[in-house]
Amino acid sequence: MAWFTIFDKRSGRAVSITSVLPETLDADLQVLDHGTLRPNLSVEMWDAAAQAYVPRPSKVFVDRVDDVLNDSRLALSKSLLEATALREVLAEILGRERFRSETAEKRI
Amino acid sequence: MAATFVTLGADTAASTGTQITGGANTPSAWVQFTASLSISAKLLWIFARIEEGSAYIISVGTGAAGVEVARFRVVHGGQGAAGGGFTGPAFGPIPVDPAVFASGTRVVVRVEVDSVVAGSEAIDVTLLLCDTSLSELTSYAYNDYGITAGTDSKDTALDPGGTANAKSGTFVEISSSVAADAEWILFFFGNNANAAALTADWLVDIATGAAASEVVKIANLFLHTSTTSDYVQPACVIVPGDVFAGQRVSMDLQCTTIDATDRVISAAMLAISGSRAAGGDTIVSSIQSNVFSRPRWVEGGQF
Repeated sequence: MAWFTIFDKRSGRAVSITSVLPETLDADLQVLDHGTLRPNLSVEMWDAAAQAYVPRPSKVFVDRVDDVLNDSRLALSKSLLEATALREVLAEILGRERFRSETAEKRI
Repeated sequence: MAATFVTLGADTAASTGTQITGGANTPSAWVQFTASLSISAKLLWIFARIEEGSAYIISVGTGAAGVEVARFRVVHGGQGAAGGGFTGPAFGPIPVDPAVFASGTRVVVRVEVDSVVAGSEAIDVTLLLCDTSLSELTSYAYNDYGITAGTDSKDTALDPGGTANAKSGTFVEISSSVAADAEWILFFFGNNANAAALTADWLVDIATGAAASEVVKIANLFLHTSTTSDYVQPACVIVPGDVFAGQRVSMDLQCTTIDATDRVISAAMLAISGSRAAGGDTIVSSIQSNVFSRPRWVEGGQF
């Protein structure tokens, strides 16, 4: 199956990602042929300026263990900050909430 | 006649629903979702963005201001403790009487909350209504679309783009052609395998038609995820399929966040085809379309 992206030549905006091309197309629209590779929006995204797909930026995870250890209210000593056991305990308690998005609140 | 879908209560400026502040163990005032329904509805879905840990009763009513009549209610028993999570359940499809939810009818919603958690009284609600019932079938065939086995991407990613609270303008094809005799459609939604999602809301348009000339048939389907649950709710929405039968189906969407990862969700669909039972347009009741929060809906009566 062939895949295409139809985009507006003036704005660069993608209009449709499709395996079926319409019989007629507005003069302002242009077709980008991807062959049999469907654009995978999980890992790439449309760049209107480049009129092409670009890699999606990698997600930045922040470790809530660091959120705790670096909290200024605690003022932990260097040895405590580097204590592997403390990190392990915090990580165990936080479980699947250990990592957060960069822009997400520290508070769970 | 192909089904017509109507969405009520969507707030496209904020990618959410209509906010209703629940009364503490007493119903809130009725909130108008439409002064005049444009179809005579046979099915109704309630989409709700429910915050914090309280329990809610959401009632749907009809009638003129001051003399509204409660038609039925659904209940969400609550989840987690304070800050313990947000959910976005869908209740439905709920069969409704087209003579009661008739074209021209004023439709209203009210909410009662247990108010255990201060600040959790406000929830966001949309309604989806349809003028066609789900058909009872005597034979069954299944076709799925937008699903890719054997890779990390199991379904089809959708990107609302880098502008918050505005449709991307890009329709992503889910199916090039749905089975011509599709009677039921299940739309599936996921978080694109995102292990640390931001709390976010989406409004999804589902369209038919050729590329670059798509026509929206279901507008502003209300989805939600949270940092604590990470999964998109509702995960599955069941609708009558005839409007999508034989059609190319695609989706566009908008989101509250522009984070390059967290704004992306994924979708797929399953079409169920078959022969209609005698009588055709038979209401199939008690279908529960949210596999996660397991809400219970309560038959009508005085409340």
